[in-house]
Amino acid sequence: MKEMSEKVVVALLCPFARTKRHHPAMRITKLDSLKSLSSLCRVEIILEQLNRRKFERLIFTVLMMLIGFNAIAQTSGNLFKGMVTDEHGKALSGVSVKGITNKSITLTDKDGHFNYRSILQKDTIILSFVGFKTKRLAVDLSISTMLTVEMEADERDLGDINIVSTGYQTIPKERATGSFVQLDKAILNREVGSGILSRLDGVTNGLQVDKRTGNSKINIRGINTFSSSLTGPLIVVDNFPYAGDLNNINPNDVESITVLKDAAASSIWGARAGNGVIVINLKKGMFNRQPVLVFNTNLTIGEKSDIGYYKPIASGDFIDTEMMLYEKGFYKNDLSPTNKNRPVVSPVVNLLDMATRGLISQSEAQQKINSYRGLDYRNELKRYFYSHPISQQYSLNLDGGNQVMNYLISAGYDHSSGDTKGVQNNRYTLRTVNNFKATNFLEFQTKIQYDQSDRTGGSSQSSYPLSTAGGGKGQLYPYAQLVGENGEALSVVQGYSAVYTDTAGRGNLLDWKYRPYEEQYLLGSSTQLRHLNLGLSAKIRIFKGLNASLVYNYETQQTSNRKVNSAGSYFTRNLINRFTQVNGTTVKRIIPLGAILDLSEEQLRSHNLRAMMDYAASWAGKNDVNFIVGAEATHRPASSNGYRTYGYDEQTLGYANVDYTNSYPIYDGLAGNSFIPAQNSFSSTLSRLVSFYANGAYTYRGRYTISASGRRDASNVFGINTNNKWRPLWSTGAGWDISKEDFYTAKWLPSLKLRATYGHSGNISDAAGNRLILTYVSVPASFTNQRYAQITTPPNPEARWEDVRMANLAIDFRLKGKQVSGSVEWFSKKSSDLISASPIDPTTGFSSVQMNIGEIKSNGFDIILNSLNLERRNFKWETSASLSYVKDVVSQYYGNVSSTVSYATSTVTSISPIKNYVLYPILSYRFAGLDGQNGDPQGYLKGIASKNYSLLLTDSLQNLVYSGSAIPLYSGFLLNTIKWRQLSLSFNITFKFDYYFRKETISYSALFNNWSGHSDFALRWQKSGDELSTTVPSMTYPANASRDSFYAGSEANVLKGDHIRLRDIRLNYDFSFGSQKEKKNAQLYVYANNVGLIWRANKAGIDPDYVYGLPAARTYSIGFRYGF
Amino acid sequence: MAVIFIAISQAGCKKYLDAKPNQAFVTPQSLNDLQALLDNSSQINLGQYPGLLEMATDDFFLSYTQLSALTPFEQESYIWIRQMNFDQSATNQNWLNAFRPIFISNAVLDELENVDKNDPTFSQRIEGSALFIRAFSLWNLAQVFCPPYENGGSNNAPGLPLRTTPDFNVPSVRSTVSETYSKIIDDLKGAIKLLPVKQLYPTRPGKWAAYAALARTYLSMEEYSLAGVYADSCLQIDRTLIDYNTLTPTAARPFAVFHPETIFFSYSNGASILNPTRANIDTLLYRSYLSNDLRKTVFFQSSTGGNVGFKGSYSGSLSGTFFNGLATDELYLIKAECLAREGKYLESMTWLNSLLSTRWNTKGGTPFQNVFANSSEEALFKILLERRKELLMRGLRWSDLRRLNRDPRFSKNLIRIIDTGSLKTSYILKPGSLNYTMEIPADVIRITGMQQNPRE
Repeated sequence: MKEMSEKVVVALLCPFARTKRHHPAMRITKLDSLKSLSSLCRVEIILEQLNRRKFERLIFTVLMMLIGFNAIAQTSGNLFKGMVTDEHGKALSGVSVKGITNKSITLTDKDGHFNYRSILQKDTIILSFVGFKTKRLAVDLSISTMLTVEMEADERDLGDINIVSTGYQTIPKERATGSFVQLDKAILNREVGSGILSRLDGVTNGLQVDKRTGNSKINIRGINTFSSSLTGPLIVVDNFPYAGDLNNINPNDVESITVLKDAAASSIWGARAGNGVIVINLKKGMFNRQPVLVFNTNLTIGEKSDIGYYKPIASGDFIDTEMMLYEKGFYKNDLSPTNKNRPVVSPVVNLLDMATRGLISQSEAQQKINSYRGLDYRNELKRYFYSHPISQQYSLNLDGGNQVMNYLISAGYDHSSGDTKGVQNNRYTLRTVNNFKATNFLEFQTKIQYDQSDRTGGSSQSSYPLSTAGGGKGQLYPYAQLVGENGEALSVVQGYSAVYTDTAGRGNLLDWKYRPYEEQYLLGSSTQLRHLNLGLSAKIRIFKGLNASLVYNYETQQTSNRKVNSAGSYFTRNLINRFTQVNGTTVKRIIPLGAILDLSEEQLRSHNLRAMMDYAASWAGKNDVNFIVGAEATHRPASSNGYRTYGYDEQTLGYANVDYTNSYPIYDGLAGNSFIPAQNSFSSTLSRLVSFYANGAYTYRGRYTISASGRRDASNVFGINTNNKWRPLWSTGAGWDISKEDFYTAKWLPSLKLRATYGHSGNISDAAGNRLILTYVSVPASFTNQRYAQITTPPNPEARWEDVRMANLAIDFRLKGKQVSGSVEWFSKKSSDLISASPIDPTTGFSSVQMNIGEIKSNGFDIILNSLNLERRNFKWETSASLSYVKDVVSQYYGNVSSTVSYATSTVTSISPIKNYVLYPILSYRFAGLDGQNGDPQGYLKGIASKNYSLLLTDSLQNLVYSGSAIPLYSGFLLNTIKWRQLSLSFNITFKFDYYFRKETISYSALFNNWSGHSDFALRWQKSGDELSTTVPSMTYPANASRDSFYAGSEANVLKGDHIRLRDIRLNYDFSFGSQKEKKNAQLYVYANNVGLIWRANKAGIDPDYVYGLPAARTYSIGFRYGF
Repeated sequence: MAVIFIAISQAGCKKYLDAKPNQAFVTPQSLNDLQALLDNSSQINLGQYPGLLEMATDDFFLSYTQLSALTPFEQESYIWIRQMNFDQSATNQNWLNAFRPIFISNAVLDELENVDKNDPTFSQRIEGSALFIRAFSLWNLAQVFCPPYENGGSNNAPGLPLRTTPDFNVPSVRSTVSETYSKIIDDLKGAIKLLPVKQLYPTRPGKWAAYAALARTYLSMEEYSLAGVYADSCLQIDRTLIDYNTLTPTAARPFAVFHPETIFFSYSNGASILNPTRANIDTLLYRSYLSNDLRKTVFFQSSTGGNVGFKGSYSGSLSGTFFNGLATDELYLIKAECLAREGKYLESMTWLNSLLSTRWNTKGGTPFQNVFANSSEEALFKILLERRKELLMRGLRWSDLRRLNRDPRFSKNLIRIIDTGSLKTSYILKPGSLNYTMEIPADVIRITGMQQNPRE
């Protein structure tokens, strides 16, 4: 009856309003202010933004409310109700709704509904939400009290993100006092690739990635600890610290990432949050949403690794050096037939020796040597060992829901082949999330995530530089030949001299040659990783605003490694040969023939239980309060085991037993009696953490916010009394929205907000306790085969937890017309009681111990600016710019300082604290140029040029030149997006300024003894006058290691790291198809990553981001996304 | 609910948080745990003792080419000049590693108070072992970093820092030479009272080893009668010698580890300079072995230029480490020397001959001829020569030089000649030179502020 009358009225009053089936999302609730029916006749289309369809829906809604429901009288203000959806009609929860007059903020609930109170009949509301364009809407109570608003997705909208997630709760940004950076799908999906953390690099304000050693280390607002093992932020995935391998996470499953930068933001994570927190939220289903299917696929092809980037000594130079050394008799000992160690000598030295001994003629030797001059084994490596990395990605995501339940199912498959041949990686991910509303006050969520990755290949032995010569040599000689003319594998000298391995055993031993090209295929290594994450949560609404929840999260990860050194591999042959006893014609093999199989497994489990109450309320239109209080416990056991099998036969699965208990002679006395290497290993660890926490915020009139949080943590750190295990941490903050004050009149700056916070967070360390801890070594002692124990850390009764204090001041602003918005934050940190392996008096039996020995003071700022530079009908140009500065200075350091030379020659890739210097100081010897007579490098001793290298090396630390920090003080990015019709082009320029690095150079002693040379050799001083154009010292024989160290550590090798990089370029083409009603969106995109340097301060051709490793290879991707 | 949870977990917290973070971690609970610490042979017996015990002796020489390939530290040690380049690794090898057994001993002695001592014999064995190890390390360090003990002198010069606690907060302060030697003797005497005669492996000390170490210590203090008494006590327990005829002289490593002469097994840190392919044995010394002396083949391998390198290590290693443990042959020689010094030269020759006869090739055609002496002095000369020949590369020569230089009959100038081809330089180490005492690593001086040894 009611329905019938609705239709009639609709038909009567609004001829253009079609009757339609109820959209599931359109649930009409109550009408609060009843107006006379006649007012409906004065319908005016004042909501310009609403298109005809929306308008229809609005009218329809209003009518239904008018007719279907009773009014409820209101006591304070006028109530506007509404519902917010996206373009597909999917309800959006967490949208902030703010009025021009009231300025208090309301959030939409899970079903997209909101209530907004106003003292006016006519008002304007502003809706904003992550990933959507902010919408201003004039509303008129006389026309409607129930609004249905559709928001338009914004692919890139960094400026107006309104919800931040801490992993415990979500907070509207307007009420947040802390420092958060939120990255939404749009920004995260710009980059293509299988990893999630790499996507933060270059787009996150205040986050820096240190890639100098080849591994990526994330620093948020600098570094707050002395020990490298304690650097790096806490990573939280779906509200819990992630135990598994982060590479398991499919980036397509990620909804958003929040980076918690200051103490107020991160202190909720307590003792583990000292280095900041990265909160990753994965996608979930939503109630009342029609099924949506998203499909994404892409293909990425990378360039081959640029091993030409390395700067080794040229083959010709290397050969000339070897010939000189041969003349000087340098190899006499190595070449001596009585040298029982049979040391390796290079082919050139071998030829020279053969010529000397008359085995070949001098001219034959010279001819052959000359033929080596043009060789560079990098060419063969590149051709036969390296390949183009290729990766493919497929992901499928389905979600939807009705009023009582919602679901999300996602599946992903990634396949990639690595930059060296034979490296394959497959990853499968499967995820489902279900929410179920049992009743109005009880809701359940289940979450299952399974992922698996299978990796094969990837022996480090096939990447440059081949460091396999053994016999004390660091690297392979540059003119090595790996592959013959017919593609056959050639041998290189390995372990023992070629002359020796040619004939050793007279046929009774296995082939003793090493052929790297063949070896690639003889080592089979594979790693399989399986990871399962289960989550179960229940939420009870106790009364309005007060909820209690219980969450349990379980993770398990199993990694299996399998390495087969096949029977033909050098590793196996060499080991068997060493343990072979030849007695006349009888050959006794202590190690049986067959492959050597190493298996190992690691298992990790993590149980988390969290009980929490949260309360949110607002009253009198002026007061908003929310708080959480809770407790949680973590139990995280991990174990691993490994073992080796000898004589393994892959065909028949047979194996052989060996004798580990007796020692056996090594063939030909090459070494002392030895045991067969056993590889059994077992470990078992357990980490437990108990925490209690509370966090609350109060906002008055939307203008003033205060927040506070407290937390108490305890962990099962060994050897510390339970009382000392507890660690209280707290933070507090305040926010003031000046622009909402009555006195505020600056029209050009319509939004201005101040925030300030102060708080503590910490770091957990395993620094030893007050009692002696001994560790049983799993491998029995040599000779006696007894179990034995070690003392790894001496007792330290003084151990305390590290503490990080941070103050943060921020201004958020928006210029008139929404063209420019941004924030400026300033912070100051003091990290104290820092633990470091400090050098101590070696008389104690230890050269260093872990102690609380220092303090770091840091200052910095983060600026972010978003601007809409140009907007025309079909054209739009937006820019997002970020600049961060952070300087960490060691303000106290009670530890002992290492020797001068260790600072001056260090690559400074690990933290080396010295009081009053930055954490990574680049220090060097003052350089007085080369001696014009002989090319000797000169330094200064007490201001006078000197060549006394012993004294120069041990000169006091104060006399060193301090250039600056080895990590950039300034960093940032400039991300531009240009849209024209359906095309969108974006490119990101990143920059790092104010830092230094020490380049590698030639060390003649390393060249002579280890075969490791540097192309600076070619620049060396050779004759008087050269000192004007080069700083590279002359070559001397014998080499003087102190002279080499002095030059390597001199300021001549310190270069400025500043650079600007074009990080990536992305081009999208968006299109849609299907009917107007069932519109489907799709996108075609191309993407290029690691495009290249635009500018660098150094002229040595070094990429300062990758001083000691290879720069990331440029990659090109093409992809397609459907249905978002 | 949260309140209940908090209540429950608060109550269970203590137990929950007392769980061990690593299964392999143990706070010492039992005597077995302490024995396990003492069985850590890689930090007590193997490679812990200073290479400097041999790096500066007159038993070997290097060609200029060989020398120039070495680290400045090794080069400077070789020619006895100031060790400016005591780098981290040299510090570790020559100081820290030898102090680590002392740390372990102190930790064991300290924890002995806390563990359950249900087995008094076991407990005594552990205490005795720890005392022995501490004394053994101290003696080795004293031969390098303390001035020579002057019998009859005041011995007030700075000795070693004597650490008796595992607590690293206690500063290291140098004692005097006399205090250092007293500590060694006290510890060894204490060990003798507690230790069983022998233990399961030669890496664990018994009374046998403690007597031997005491004899060695007294010898280095020129307390010859006491040295003789303790050598006797040692040899009464077991005086086995290997008949070298049973060895394979051509083998690259003729001696098996733990062979029957081994009283206490330990070897030094690796020093590149001592690698047999580099360190040529002094030509005259090599020539002094008779052709039927099996040591001439068992001990040596030929190297470049007609020279020989030493391969006869009792530790079965060729890589620049040397056996610095205790073996019966050394005790025969101590016994013989002490008898000769007491004037019992005939008796002393008996001991010497019983040793030498086992080194004689029984298939060489000429039977072993007993060595004779007509006076104590002649006996002493012969014994000291055989001591040098038998105990070659055993970490004893430096100590012997320091001791014998005090007697004008045996003192000598050590000479090194460095011939670069264009320039010949010679270096001399005179008897009694301050350079017989090595510098303490710069790091130790810098951190502790202790007094550096004076050098010339």
